[in-house]
Amino acid sequence: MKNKNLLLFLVLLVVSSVVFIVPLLTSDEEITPSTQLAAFVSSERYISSDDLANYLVNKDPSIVLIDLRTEADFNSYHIPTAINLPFDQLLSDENQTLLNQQKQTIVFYSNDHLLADNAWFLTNNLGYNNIIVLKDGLNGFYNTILNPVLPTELASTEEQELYLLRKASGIFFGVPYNNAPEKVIDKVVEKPAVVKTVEPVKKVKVEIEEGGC
Amino acid sequence: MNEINLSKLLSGILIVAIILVGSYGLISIDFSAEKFQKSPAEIHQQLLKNEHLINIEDINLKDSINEFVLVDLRTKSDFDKGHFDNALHLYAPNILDKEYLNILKKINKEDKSIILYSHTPQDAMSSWYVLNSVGIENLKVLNVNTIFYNNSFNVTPFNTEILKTDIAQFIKESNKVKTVPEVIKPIIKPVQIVKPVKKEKVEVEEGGC
Repeated sequence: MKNKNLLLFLVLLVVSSVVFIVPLLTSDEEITPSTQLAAFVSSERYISSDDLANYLVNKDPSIVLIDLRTEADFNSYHIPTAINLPFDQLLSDENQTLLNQQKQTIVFYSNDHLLADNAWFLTNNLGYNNIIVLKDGLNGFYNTILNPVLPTELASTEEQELYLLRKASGIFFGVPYNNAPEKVIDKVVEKPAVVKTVEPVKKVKVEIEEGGC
Repeated sequence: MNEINLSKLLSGILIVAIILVGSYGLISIDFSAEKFQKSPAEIHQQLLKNEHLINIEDINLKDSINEFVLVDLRTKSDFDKGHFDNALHLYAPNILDKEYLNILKKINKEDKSIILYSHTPQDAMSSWYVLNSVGIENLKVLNVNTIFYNNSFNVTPFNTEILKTDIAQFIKESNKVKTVPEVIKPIIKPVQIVKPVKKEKVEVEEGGC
């Protein structure tokens, strides 16, 4: 009888311990479809072209830029300092050390941000939480930094200043500041003078009548 | 109180405590939560096949009821303004709600495709990924941009991952030395020739006082 009670007690102890510990082990940081959905529909993963350009111009060492396009596309053009990691090789073992680290922030980019988003979903699913995505990809970077739209004369001072900042950033990425005003030189030229003739005014004769006073 | 009663009392308290702790643990486990059915590696392979996107010209919208179900992931107000005919509205942030999942699982059982769309294919991809990972099959994303303007629901095909400008060429052209012609601003100094005015002699006629 005593042994039976002891056995029952031990079984209850083990079962309750397991049931109690399991939820504790599944901490809030564990990735579930629900937590993933919340992260996916949020726009927090995006970095703008302006912010990225600012990091790169300032040579911020905390940023690692990863180009997810093919090697051919990468060789044609890539944002300076970017590393090429084609999407098909994203999950290969040798790249996991680079992707799963806390020291640096990794920025994924592609032509627009669909491919980069897909790479982000996969790495987020693996628990890598130090990765962000360049919003609108290379197309957005071109329209914002490399060839920004000239603001109209009615644009605010902030817009004008932002344009100048973008043009200045463009120099860092290889686009010269080619909107400088044309050089105007003052030069005195000898041109055939226009002869201005002054015609004499014929004075009207004052006829003095004959006669005396 | 003798020793036997005391030990019985302590055992009773202990058993009640164990039952309470166990109950708390059971309550804490969310048995209803969806679990991942596919690993990231499996989804990666799916994405590499590039079969998750479907172009609008590849579907027969008139026969949508029998072959596929279009799912609008936008807000209710966007959906109410305009949407594809026969589209089902399932708001993206709530896509894992039990009610929604049951609808999608039912569509799966009917062997129909589920075609997701939103403002852009990028917006719809997050729902595709999550639904795919929890085991919903036959999922596609419609490769279109949708926008409401001029009082109508407008759909335009979307070319994903196309570089719109040859950036290398643009930089090359920008760096060509510009031969800016000197703009000469002439300053003309006209010479003013003033012809002397000949004074005509006023002839005073003879006579007078």
